[in-house]
Amino acid sequence: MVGMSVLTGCGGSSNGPAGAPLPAHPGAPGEDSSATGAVTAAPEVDDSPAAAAAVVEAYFREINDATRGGRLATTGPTALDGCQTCALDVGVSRSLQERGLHAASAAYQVTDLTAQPRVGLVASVAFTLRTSTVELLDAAGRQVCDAPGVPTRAATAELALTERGWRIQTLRYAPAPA
Amino acid sequence: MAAFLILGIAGAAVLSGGVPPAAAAPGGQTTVPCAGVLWGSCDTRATTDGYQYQYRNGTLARVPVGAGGQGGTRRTSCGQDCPDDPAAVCDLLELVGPDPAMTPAQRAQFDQTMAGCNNYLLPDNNGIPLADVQAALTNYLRDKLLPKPSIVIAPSGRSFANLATILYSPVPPSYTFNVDQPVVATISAVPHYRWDFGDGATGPDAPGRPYDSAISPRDHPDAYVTHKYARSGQFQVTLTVTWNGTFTLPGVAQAFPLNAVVLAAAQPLVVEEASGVLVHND
Repeated sequence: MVGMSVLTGCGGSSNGPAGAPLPAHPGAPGEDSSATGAVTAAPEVDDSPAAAAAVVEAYFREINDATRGGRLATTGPTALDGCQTCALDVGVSRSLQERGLHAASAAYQVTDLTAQPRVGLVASVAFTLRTSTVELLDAAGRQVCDAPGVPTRAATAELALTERGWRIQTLRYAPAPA
Repeated sequence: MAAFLILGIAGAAVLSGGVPPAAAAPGGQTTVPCAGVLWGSCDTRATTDGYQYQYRNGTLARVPVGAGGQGGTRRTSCGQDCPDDPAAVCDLLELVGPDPAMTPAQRAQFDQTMAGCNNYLLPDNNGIPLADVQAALTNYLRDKLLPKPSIVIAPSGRSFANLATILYSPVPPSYTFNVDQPVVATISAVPHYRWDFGDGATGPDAPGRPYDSAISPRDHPDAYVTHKYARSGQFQVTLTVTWNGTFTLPGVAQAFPLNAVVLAAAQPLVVEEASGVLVHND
């Protein structure tokens, strides 16, 4: 779990638990470096559906940047540690880093982002994702192999609202090509 | 325990050039194979299977996709004016637990909020104990998924004193693995390397790589694991790889730790004294 996930207000609820400050949690890989670990007042965050869509874009931008740079992707600012499909993307970046490889171009292209109306602490963002075949280069710039692409797929991101804004909890991809 | 575990279709084929077979999804639907790199966009298990998980009270329970306790049955007309979903709040509160750094007032508020969560907690009888899953996945990671480390010393187990010896361990093809039993999960394994060169010196936390004239050690010092022996003799090089693993499940915000898996390898090395030889005396 990322460092500090304090729920921000969302209208409040008179008959149930409502946004008590959540504590810091022991760090984990991919932790957001901006987390302080201290309990503080929740700062203002953009909790709009558009902000949720921007987080999804930022997530894929980071995966692209990390694989092109041959470094480990940092998903703490965009996703929760439990995002299962995110773990696969991070695993790709780790594999490239450990092998001294990097992608010659961006693998992911996100289009048709549509943020659904926010429901409480949860937002959904629908989008189409194209995963291109990319060349993998070594430190000398030589092409070592290709990373095969994935058929273009319709996808849905589910995001949870935390103290630091929207974070992707789950990415779900349609089995059939879009 | 590991007998009922099934490796995901592409987890072991990352960057290896191998082409994994297509996998038949439940219901007879054939999924599109993703050869090579295991991008997240290749994983459609939760969608295909139609369920994800909830974690409560130390157990993992399967729930239909979209009913993860966060708004699945809530009305949508209220939009961002919807009140906080009490179950979702309880989920997150339970997830992170109390913090020792809380002030008494904050802790009291936390406890009071948690006391109201009892009505939202699922009964445990339909869940799988987390400890059982952790034990099963740790065993499977150690016994089936992780490669046994090996040491390669260039050139061929012999070296010279005061000259750099290049050592490396072949890098495994994957650091993420999909499993389908006992839960649909993705295991992420992070290796840490400890080199002991046998003369009292230790090496970096890196696997190293074979020498490549196009990748200069001067320009890419971190690419190589090297060591200069100060004297001749026979040495035992040991490499200990400690894999720290976590696993994640669709629908659960938390990554769960696995017990560290420690694997080791040893390789003898003969270091000889290089002596100068005058080859031209013109």
